[in-house]
Order: sequence, then C-alpha cells, then structure tokens
Amino acid sequence: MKKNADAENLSVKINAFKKKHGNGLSAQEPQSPQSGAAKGFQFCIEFISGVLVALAIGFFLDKVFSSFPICLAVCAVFGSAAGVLNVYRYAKTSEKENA
Amino acid sequence: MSSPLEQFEIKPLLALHFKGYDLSFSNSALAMCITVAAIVLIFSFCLKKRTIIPTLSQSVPESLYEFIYNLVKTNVGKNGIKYFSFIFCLFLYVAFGNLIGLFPYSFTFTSHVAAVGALSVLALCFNICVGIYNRKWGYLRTFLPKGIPVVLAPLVVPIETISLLSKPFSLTVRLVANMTVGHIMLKILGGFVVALGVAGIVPLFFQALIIIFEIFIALLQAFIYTVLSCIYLGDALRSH
Repeated sequence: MKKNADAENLSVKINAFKKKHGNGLSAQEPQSPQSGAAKGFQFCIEFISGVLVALAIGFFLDKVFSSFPICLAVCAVFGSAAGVLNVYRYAKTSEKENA
Repeated sequence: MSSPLEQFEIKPLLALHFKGYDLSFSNSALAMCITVAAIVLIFSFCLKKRTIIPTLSQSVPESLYEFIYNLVKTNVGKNGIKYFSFIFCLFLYVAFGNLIGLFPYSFTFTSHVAAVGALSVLALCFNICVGIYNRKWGYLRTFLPKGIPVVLAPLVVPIETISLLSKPFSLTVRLVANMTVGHIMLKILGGFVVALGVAGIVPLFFQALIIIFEIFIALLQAFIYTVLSCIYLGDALRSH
C-alpha cells in the first residue's frame, strides 16, 4: 500500500515538473550553428549531385551522338530541376525526422 | 610524411596485372579486409556465450542489432525487414571502416570516392532490383509518380531518372568529404605538435578533443549513410 502511495506521489511530482518545465526541449530553443552548417552542406550536396550527374550524362550523350553541346545544355536544365527535387525531398525527410 | 594529403595515397602492396588492368592488392584493399575481419572477430567474441540474460559483451551487438532493426522498421516499413541483413552489413562496414581509419598508420578507405562510390552504386543496384522484384512493372511509377499528367512525362521522367542516379553520388560525397576533412585536420594539428616542441602540448590537447569528435563523426556518418540507404530502399518499395 505504501509503495502505491509513493508511486502516486512520484507521478504527481513528475506531472508538476513537466507542467513547469515542459515535456522536453522547447521548439524555440536555438539550434547549434554547426548543425545548421552541416544541414546546409547536405542541401548543397543534394543540389550539386543532381547537376553533376546530369552534366556527366549530357557529356556522355554528346560524345556518343557527336552533338556537343546540345545534350549537355538540355541535361544541365534537367539536372538543375532534379537538384531542386532532391533538396525538396531531403528537406521533407529531415522535417519528418525533426517532428 | 609531409603533405596532409599523403595519408590518402593508394600504394600497391601486391602487384597484380591482368590483361592491362591493374588488380593490385593495395593498402585500401588491406584496410577493407581488416575491417571485415575486425567485425567478424568482435562479433564472434561478443556472442561466444549466448545467454538469455545478456552479459555486457553480448549486449553491445544485441543493442546494435536492435537499433538498426528499428531503423529499418521505421524507414523502410515491415516489408523491408527481410532486407535488414543488407542494411546491417552496410552500417557495420562503414562504421568500422571509419573507426579503423582513426588508428595511427592505418588507412581510411571511406575517404576514397572509388571505394564508397562502388558501395553506393551497389546499394542503388540492390534497391532497383528489390523494387523491380517487389513491384514488377509498378516500379516504373518511380519515374512518373501518381497524379502527374502523362503530358508532363517528357519533363518528369528525365528529372526523376537523374534524381535517382544522383542518390549514390550524394551519399558518396557526404561520407568522403567528412572523412577527408577530419583526417586532414588531425594531420595538420599533429604537425603542429611535432613542430612546436614543448609548446606542442596545446595543439596536442586540441587534437585529443578532435579525435573524440572524429569518433563521434565516424559513427554519425555511418548512421546517416544507413538512414539514407534505408530511405532509398523504402522509396524503391513504395511509390512517392
């Protein structure tokens, strides 16, 4: 009986503490600049990888069809779009992880 | 060793040439073999006495197993559990490769685009095969997600294709850049320790701190690599 009373007392104390201090980290707590820089670096990689892969494909197609620089130019446009898509998807994923 | 980049040089240990191809056994290959041997030995040692209530040594691989299992379950879903062994191997290989590279006179093969790139391309091929095996023709939906008009296919299909092909590239660059930068920093600080003599105790202190940070980064990068591989595998198993 005494144990039950102790447990109840403890849960009341925990609830009071949570009410006073919040359930965890507050949403407005500033993030460390390093985590921001790391995220920025990853966003850059996501964008650049799309562009570079597209340029490589374009360069290869131009070599095959001897059409320099038509395929390269077309692929650069598609690559930029793919880069933006990569960034958007990565942002969505990291947002889900943070939630 | 004078240049901080000298530590990344690939040196052939056992020369082997076949029809004009250089198949030499290099220091990078040796580091990979040591990594695999270390994983097998450590796991065999820790799991030698298997008990229901785990001992301290048994609880380490068990908690790692559970951690990656939950990661796969969360990011890939229940359908992805059967590919858990692949993801687990990927995590262990990258994590141990990063950690073994921190030992003096060892070689960090995860700082090489060729090694990590091959691993990432292998992971991409695995994802494509899994996607085709599970979804058959439905896998083509990856290139034209649901809800997009067919008129836009000439625009969307190349974009999605490039997006898919760029995944191993971004995985590779992220890991390689982090590993390379960390090791260069350690090498430069190490140079200061030697050059400054007695006063070198100050950079030595910083180097000790950076090594701790590098251990954290090595595990974090392996974790990020695994999480992203899981997400890409999840994408292959279901459409966007």
